[in-house]
Amino acid sequence: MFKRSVVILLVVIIGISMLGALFVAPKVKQSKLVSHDKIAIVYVDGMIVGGRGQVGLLTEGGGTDTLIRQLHQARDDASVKAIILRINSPGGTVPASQEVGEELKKIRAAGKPVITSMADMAASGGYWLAACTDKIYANPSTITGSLGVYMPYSNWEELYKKIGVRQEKIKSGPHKDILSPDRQLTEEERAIIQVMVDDMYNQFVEVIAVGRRLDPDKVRELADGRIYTGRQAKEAGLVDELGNMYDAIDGAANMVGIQGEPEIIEYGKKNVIESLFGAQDTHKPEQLMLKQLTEILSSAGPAAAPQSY
Amino acid sequence: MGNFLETIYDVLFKPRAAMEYIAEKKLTGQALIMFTIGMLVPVWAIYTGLKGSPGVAVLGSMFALQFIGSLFLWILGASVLNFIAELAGGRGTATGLFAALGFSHLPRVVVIPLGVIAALLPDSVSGVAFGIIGLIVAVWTLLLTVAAIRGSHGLSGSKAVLVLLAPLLALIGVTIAAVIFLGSALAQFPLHF
Repeated sequence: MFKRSVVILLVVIIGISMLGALFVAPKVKQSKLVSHDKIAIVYVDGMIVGGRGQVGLLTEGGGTDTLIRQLHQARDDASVKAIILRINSPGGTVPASQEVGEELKKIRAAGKPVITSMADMAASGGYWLAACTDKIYANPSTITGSLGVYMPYSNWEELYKKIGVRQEKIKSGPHKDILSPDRQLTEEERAIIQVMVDDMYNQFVEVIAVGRRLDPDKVRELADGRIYTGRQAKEAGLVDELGNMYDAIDGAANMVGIQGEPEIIEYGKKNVIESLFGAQDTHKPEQLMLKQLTEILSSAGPAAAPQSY
Repeated sequence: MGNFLETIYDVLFKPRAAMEYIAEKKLTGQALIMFTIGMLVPVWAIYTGLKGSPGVAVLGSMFALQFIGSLFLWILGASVLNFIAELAGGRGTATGLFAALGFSHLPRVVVIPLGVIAALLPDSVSGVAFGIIGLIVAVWTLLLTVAAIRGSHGLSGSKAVLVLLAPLLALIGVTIAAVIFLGSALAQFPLHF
């Protein structure tokens, strides 16, 4: 009887508590349950190269495919009102920069502003992306500029002679092995490459002129390949505001009318599993160079497979 | 009903003997009632917090999901722990352990008065108070689980703790082995090159 009484008393206390909870329980704020207006941050780190980048066991990263996918996620998220493109890149390939730049333009055309925040460096291809956004923030000492195009070419001819390698090719046309490292470029080939570089340069100039609303001739003056500090770039009209990422976030919030502290959503952050088994986020220049060197040296091997450059 | 109330009293104040009795008598019906109450009361607590907000609409499906998930874990837990307890030299039945484990959901019900008191406290301390209550529920539930293993299989306290930890230890071991294996296997491939 005693046991029952104790438990019944407990049941009564619990019952009263449950009723009491109706009045005293901390209310979950409505704001927690509705979708906040957010600002997305998409990171562009390292060299901008096309494709899937480095493919890991469970992930891939570093290539523009991943970057564009992240931009699409931010575009498709209705709660994301603006996108911050956080660029820390020395540049990359022209096609890769171009395809990301075109996606940025489409996102802006769809009504979602994109704001650039430059970190340590946003040069060359990094600036190409920035020029495709609505507003550019840079730190006063950010390194930017390097506006131009070059096509690297190494001539390993003398080295091959020293180590006794003589590569022979059966070509379908005279320029099929253009930029081949085992011989000197001919004048005709140099002219072909120069025309290509000039064409890419003109495309770059056009992107900057349109994106920054600058006269193309002025852009050509600025785009001689030199680098600028953030402050110099602002004076030249290549940057809108001096400030860090948080200034860019505040600017983006003002631009889209978010009151108070905006909620931030970051794309491209890796979880533990991805860190263990995934690909690296960025391309390291020395790794790329090592990879290229390996490919070049392997092509000097005795394999009879047709080579393609 | 009378027996049920007395069983609850014993679980509260004499947990080991109570668990032994529950396992021996295989009080699965009472355990199921305890389990259901243990599921309903926290849902009520959540309802009081969500009342008047759009989130309340998903409460029904949340309860169903929690009920099914917890029931699955209860059955799976009883099977696995019974197997390990038998390996550890315990003598008991899976049904007995299943019934005893059902009563380990009791703390979820009993702490609700503490929750109401915590809600009445100033904001600065109520968060801490809720944390402490959560800790109390977790520790109490673990103690009752250990008591259930001891009572149902006649094991010593240390063995019962080992039986309870064995699945976790096995999982950690398998994970470490998998990481080492995959790490050494991946090292052979220049994936990051």
